[in-house]
Amino acid sequence: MEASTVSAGGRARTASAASAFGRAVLALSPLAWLTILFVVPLGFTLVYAFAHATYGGVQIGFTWTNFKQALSGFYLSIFLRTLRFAATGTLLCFVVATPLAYFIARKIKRWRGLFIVLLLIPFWTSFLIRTLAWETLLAPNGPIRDALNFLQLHHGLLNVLDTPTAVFIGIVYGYLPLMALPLYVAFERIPSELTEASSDLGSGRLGTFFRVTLPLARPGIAAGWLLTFVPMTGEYVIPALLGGDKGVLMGGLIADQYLTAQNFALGSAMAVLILAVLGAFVFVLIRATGGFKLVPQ
Amino acid sequence: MDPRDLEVVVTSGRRTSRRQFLGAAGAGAGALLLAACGSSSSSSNTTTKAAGSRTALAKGGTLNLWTWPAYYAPSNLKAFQARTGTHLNIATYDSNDTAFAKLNTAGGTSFDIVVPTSDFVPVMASHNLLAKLDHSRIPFRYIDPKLLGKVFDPHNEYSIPKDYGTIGVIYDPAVVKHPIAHWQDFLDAGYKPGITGKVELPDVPDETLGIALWAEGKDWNTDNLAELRHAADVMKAFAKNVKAFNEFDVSGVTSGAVVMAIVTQGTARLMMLQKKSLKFVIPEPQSELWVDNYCITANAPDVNQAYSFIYYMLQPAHQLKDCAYIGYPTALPDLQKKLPANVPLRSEIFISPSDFARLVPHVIHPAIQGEVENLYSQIQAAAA
Repeated sequence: MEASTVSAGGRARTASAASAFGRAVLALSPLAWLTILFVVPLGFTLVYAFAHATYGGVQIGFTWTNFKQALSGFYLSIFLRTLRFAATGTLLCFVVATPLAYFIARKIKRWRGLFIVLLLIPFWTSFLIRTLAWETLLAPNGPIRDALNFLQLHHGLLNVLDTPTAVFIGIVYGYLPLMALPLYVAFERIPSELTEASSDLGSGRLGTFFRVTLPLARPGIAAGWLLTFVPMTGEYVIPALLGGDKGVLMGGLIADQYLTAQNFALGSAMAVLILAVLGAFVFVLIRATGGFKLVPQ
Repeated sequence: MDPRDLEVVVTSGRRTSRRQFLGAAGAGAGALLLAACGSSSSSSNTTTKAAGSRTALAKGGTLNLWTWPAYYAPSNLKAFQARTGTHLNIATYDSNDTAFAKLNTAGGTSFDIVVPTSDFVPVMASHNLLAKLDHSRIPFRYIDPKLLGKVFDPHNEYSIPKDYGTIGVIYDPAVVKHPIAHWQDFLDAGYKPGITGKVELPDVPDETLGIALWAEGKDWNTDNLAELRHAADVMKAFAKNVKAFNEFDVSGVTSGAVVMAIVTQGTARLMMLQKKSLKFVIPEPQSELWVDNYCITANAPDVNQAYSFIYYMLQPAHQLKDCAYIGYPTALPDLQKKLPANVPLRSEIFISPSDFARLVPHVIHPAIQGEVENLYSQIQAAAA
């Protein structure tokens, strides 16, 4: 937006109808993109959520049945389980990513670029392939088993694949960069004068970290939570591949409603419920961070 | 026979569950694409019939195939394209649900052929997604009559069998000491020390419920909700013995991490190729008969191309190659006698006539499918 204002100011006098048209196209194309690919499908989802279900279709109408069903007994427990799952995953990512991001942002000087690249390199490979790689690594007779056996730390087949442990290993691995990058940006922008002042005033290193650095990094923390928690509520690839498809999460449940049960209405109602919870979560984060405002320079 | 066709396909197309497909999609689809690109020289749109024959091959043009991954001998696809000059467009799906969902979209799709499993033939037909077949253009002499006129399409109005199979129990007799002969044996064995926690159930709702229904001698096609809920209770209790819901865990079973699993006979053969001591049995009293079928879609862009492809693939030589490649019996009569002896573990591909007589195709009841899915999710949740 800023860029278009600048160009408009610079050449305002000679602006022709053509350039005005160009600007309109520039401004409208993202809008059209959003409308077609986000708003319209969302609209369908909303309409379907209140419609009557038929096998492999819907009958447009207005009913709360789907929501009642989505919030009844078993589905409600899966809904809560999913939120717990995403919260646990987010917390684990946060615990692992915080020292990592802090280290890169505050302790590394010369090779910082390299570390950032290392953090991003996994994105060059498909998410699926990387998750499948973990399936190979964690296999009962896989390389991790071999290594542990060699080090005399474990004996026999490795019993990690198809357990919650494997799922959370996959989750932390898959989502770590999404948590670490915003944290890195936040840590990096905290002026060193502030931490110096803190230690001058008698705070130890841990005290400074928890009472100065971490609170100042709030927008980065919020962004990291958002980027990991939100997609985790829809996660179903990792539990299916590494968790033996045991236990059920909303992502898989919604997919099954659409595909196996062919109940688009119930699937939509579940999706709308998730959106509502995530909306509330985002709202809370915005309030807590003053709109993701950056640290004062 | 082309040596490539004898390579054992580790990710055979059929029964790649959604879970498995995530891994197989890249390799399988890529291979098919390569095969398809091999000789796609001509693209003229003239579809002509040879004089006097309604079943002749169409020349040139494009055929859009919507199918399972790695489901045709590569040499067959190559030869088909070389022979006809037809360009093959192959798109793959991981489950019948996906195949149906995509065909059933409002805008429709432009596939000529789809290859649904038996239970989805009536579902697709009732949604007007399949074309009625012109039987004069199908070489029925190359199709085993035992696969025709089944419950899912009594007059084969919509479907022509491609290949078929069943599910049964693969187990390691060194650990599972008591032989499995009945579905109840499977359920009982799962609770035993050394076995519990090392069992795999299908990632298919109907089959998982089917185990409990078969064990009690009931019809797995029941639409009686009380019976289904009872079956789900049996499986929910059993779920604590389950390591994973996976019908294609070859490495799990061959490594010994899984000692008992439900698999198709083709998957069992892949496992036995790696570990000879494994046993596969189709338990009493009943099990599933699934048939994957060639169907022509209702809005096929080029029906002639579809008939041409089906005609070509049903030729005995091509069915033999397909059978060796996918590891499931194709529809050719007397296939077992004709299949070359050098196909590894060839006997495991086939189902004996006495076993075949006990197999029952699955029937989908749309009205209760939501509840079936719900019950299955509860079984999965009970395993966590």
